Amino acid sequence: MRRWTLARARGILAQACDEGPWFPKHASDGAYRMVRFENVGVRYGVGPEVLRDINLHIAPGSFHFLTGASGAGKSSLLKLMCLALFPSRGRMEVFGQDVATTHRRDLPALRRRIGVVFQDFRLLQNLSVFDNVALPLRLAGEDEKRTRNNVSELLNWVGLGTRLDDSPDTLSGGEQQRVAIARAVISKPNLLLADEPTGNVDDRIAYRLVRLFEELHRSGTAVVVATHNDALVRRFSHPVLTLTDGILYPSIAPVDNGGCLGVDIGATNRPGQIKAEAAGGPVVRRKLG
Amino acid sequence: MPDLIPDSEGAGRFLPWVVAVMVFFAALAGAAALALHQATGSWHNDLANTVTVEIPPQNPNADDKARHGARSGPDQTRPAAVMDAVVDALRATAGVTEVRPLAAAEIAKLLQPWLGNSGPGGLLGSLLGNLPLPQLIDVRLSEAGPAGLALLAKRLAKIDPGIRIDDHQIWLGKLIRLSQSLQWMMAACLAMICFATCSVVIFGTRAAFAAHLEVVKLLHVMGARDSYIARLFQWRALNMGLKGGLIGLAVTVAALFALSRLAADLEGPLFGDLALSPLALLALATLPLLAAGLTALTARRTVLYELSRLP
Repeated sequence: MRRWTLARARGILAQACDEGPWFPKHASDGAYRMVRFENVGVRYGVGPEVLRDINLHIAPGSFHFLTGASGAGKSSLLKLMCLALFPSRGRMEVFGQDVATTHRRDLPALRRRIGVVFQDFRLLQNLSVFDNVALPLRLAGEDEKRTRNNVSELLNWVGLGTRLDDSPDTLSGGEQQRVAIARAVISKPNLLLADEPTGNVDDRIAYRLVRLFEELHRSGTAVVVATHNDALVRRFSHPVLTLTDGILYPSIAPVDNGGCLGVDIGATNRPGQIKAEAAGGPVVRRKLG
Repeated sequence: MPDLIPDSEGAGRFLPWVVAVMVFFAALAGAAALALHQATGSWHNDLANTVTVEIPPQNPNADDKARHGARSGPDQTRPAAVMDAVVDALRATAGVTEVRPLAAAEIAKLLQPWLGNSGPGGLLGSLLGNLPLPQLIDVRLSEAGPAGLALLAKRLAKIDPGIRIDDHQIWLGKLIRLSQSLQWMMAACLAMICFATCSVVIFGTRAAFAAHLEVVKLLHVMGARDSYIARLFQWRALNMGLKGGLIGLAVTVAALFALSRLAADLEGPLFGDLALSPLALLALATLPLLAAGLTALTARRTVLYELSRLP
């Protein structure tokens, strides 16, 4: 069975990038950790901790899968990363800033550097497709003319150039998903988080979606894709973070469906003392069988 | 920018009507307070520096026959010589700028609110000749003061010891105190109306916030500033507050018009002063703007508070 080599993967991505007319272009700054968790714990109210002793470093330009059973804490971890939730304990840094000491008025600027694709899309039904995608740019105070050009171009690229003025509820599930992805990437985020983006699509579409995220990743965006589709994860060589009962494990990631698994360097397997780290460079793999 | 928070949602639909009712009550309370304030000033201006000299009626037993013989007004119950002497003494007094004896018809008019019509068929008309009414003289002074009044009283007492000088202070003081108390009550009513309006707006805004929580959270995660999200609710509240305020003002105008027609029918000496001045009417016309501003400000503060509970 054919193995994907790094060179081959890069070739595919380069080809894919050349096909796309629009990509977020920004340099990856490796001088700081994009997301850094140290002994982070989360509990809702007075309930038990849903996330425990999370130690996680996400480097600029990296790509991670986040897996785990339902209720393992994937959504809570993504909420932490997109600053929709603050930890109950521990230290959390996003873009080099400790969120505990960051002033509330400075948080929106950090959030604008993060794109989120929600599992249920969360499109605003009273806005058109165009206005949904343009929303992040308008919130950032982007020039309206540039907004129009970028949004039109991106929607053309995702195949919805003729549906600009339509209401989201007139689109199919797949089309709504593309709108949601377009909205997440329109502002060229440094970090893209996708919560179960493949949950409601067949394997072929799911594969293409991850390829799309890979294209964004190639342009410098760090990507974290939460999914419980192990078969899909095995088709890619990206490091995998696994959540089990609120504890994060860096797991081995199959790089092909032929039994080759990739593992992040520097990861330890002691529960509660996990350091899942990916610097966006070549992933070191070890062959298990 | 399209409307991210549609105002046709159920949670906020009742707000314009609540604001309309509040503006109506506030306008009535405000109109009453302004009218009383105006009337108090008018009464004070009318009666300040004026005194009324009362020449008591002659002892009925002393001239019973004369009074039964001539059905006449109060000016005939006293020898004209006393009146003339008092008028002369007043005019000769320094500081007196005007002396005007009241005619019998004017005195009868003062009694009309209590004794009815003074015409041939009225109760007052039938009683007028038999009542021992004093003669009255309106006196305007350049400057009223206790010392001047005492001197004047002393001088008039030489003409007739029964002559009284009424400087209206007791009556005016009570009236002004009553009026001021009513004004304070109206102000308290306005404050309570503001409080009730704010409470309703807070309740409505919280309901709208809860109804749009998913949108708010989405905007929040996308990096919208709190002030941006608050502004969405603020403009929505301003719009509804203005609508409600205008409805309330329209109802108030109709009510005040009806009241003014009723007040005109009373023709009392006091009610004439209750008409609102153009400035007071202008103040009432600003109520919808004030209501809209209060509504918008309250909605903004409420949303900012709710947002502060999000991360």
